[in-house]
Amino acid sequence: MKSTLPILLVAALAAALPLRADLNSDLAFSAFAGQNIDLNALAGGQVMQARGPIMTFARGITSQSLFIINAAPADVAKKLCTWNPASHSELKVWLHKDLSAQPTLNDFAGLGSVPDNSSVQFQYKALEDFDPEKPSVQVSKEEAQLIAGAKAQGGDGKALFAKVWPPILLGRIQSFLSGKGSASEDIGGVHPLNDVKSLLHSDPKVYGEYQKLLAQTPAKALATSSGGHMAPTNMYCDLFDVEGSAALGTGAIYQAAFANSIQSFDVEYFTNYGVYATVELEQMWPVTVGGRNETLVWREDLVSAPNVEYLHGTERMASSMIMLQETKQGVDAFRNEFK
Amino acid sequence: MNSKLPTLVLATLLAAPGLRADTAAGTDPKDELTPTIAAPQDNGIPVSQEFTMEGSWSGRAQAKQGSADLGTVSNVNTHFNYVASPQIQDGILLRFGVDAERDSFSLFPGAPLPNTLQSVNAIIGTDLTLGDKIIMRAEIHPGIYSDFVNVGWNDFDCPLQLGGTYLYSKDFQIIFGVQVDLKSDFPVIGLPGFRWQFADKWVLSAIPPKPQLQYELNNTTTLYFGADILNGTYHVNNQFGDYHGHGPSTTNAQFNNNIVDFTEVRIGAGCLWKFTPNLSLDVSAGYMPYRAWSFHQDKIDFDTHETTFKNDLGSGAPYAEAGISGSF
Repeated sequence: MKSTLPILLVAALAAALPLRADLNSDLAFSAFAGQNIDLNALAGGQVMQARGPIMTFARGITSQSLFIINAAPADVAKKLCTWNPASHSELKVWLHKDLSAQPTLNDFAGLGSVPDNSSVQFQYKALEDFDPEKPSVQVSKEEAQLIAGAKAQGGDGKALFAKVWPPILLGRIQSFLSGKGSASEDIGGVHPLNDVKSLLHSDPKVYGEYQKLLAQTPAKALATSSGGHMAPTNMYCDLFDVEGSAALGTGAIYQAAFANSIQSFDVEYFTNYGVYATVELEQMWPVTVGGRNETLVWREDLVSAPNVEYLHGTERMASSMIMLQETKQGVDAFRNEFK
Repeated sequence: MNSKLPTLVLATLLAAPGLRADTAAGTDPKDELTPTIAAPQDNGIPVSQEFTMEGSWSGRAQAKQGSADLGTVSNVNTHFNYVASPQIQDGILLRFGVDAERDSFSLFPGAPLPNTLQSVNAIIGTDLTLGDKIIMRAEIHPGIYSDFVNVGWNDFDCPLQLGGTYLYSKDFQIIFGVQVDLKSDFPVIGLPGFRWQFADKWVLSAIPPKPQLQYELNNTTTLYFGADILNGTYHVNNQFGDYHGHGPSTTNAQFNNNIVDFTEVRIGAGCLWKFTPNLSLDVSAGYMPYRAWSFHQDKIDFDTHETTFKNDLGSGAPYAEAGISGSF
């Protein structure tokens, strides 16, 4: 069952949003501050984008986008939780499954019927050849032992995939929701939630804008004994392509209405290949363009990936430009959901 | 209004220099995080570095002048390159570095060819982004390009390289490049290219001077088949022809103070192994079908005198190469 209650709550709050007007003030925290923003062009399909600066956090890379969707903010916020990117083949998302508010192993039944392509085959082969001392997927030592134990009992890669990942994902979800990250979850010395926090701290202005929402989520609450009071608006697991190899992950979306906007925080806090953590922030304001009530969406994508640390100079510059293209592809797919 | 309060608190705290210094330390352990303090942006200039060290041998191939066989020549090529790139602002990198290359020839007796062609030069340039799809590179390589005998100002050269990459998509990029070297037989050379990842593990990198068809064996190893073009323009000393005639006790005075364009084309297969995330080992071997030395007067004087020594296509020699490159 989908966790519809938080969505309804956000929708109810958003229904009372006043029509906003002061664009420069609203976007002061963003890379688009002070820029000439043509709402008509955005309403016509333009996506403004900005590369993020090189972060102090070496594994991090970021970009920001600004666009308009022909729908009310509450509808856009709801769609962020309910759309299925796997229905857009260009995004190479092989599976996207919403999880129940209290996930159980049954929530991951879909892992037994994922597309059988070369990207997904990587996951099967990784399990068939699994070496707990040198795993080719990103797992903690405890998780590596769990996989090794399952492998010893036999079964091909596809069967192992459906068998070993549900309990591992469930463990990650429960740990995240508890707000108590454990060092035993480290992946080769990296705790994905620490990477989430490093990403969030990379831009003080954005961090300040989202602090109130973040403080109510486990992503921030790890730093304190309190916190983590807000239930996620949605939780999901997904299987997507990273440079030709599939990566399995799980994440949560938190949303809240503040002042004249709705904020959304989508954090994928565990991914088993190629990426340590991803964060997607959205802020949505009601705007009127050409007499139509639409939604101005500011979005920031933040990614922590092992390979990013080893990109330097021009390579890194090119990577951030490629990231803009891929983000725009995602934005375009999302906008198509409203046609 | 409540949502504005944490932002104001944040701004006040960031104004305290002590906090700024602490949070700028870089590490991000859980306990250092508090609900109201964000790390400030890093104001330092990020500097990336890259280097290449490579050495190769290409075997004895018959050098000819016109249809006349002169003798066989082999070549040992060594190359070192280091560049530091500070990013002075978003989308603009400066490039400062050094490059040294040496072709050391094993000649037949009385060869009218230099024993060594060598360059030692600085690299000064910039990479910059134009919009969201184009990266441009402009570099000058001022330095000594010579046989390194009686080195003087005539050995100085300053080639200019301009290049650009159009990032059509993650899988397809178009490259173009121009080199301007007024001393060269071809003062302006422009070549287009492209990089196309046409399948998950296959890349066609049609980019001179090293066009390759690449197959990604795994995350650390790439196999390739392709070509490699060694090319350089050098000045030979003002007595070069006096000591390099066609045989013992003969001279070629017209070669004194000449420019020589050296070209060697190689075709082979190789393996690129990323043995750490920062370092790669590149090993290749194959066949060298073409090697040429073109002697001419300084092109700035637009003198038409020219003599070329080269092997016949197809009567080349084997080659082997190994190199290490890294970026930090």
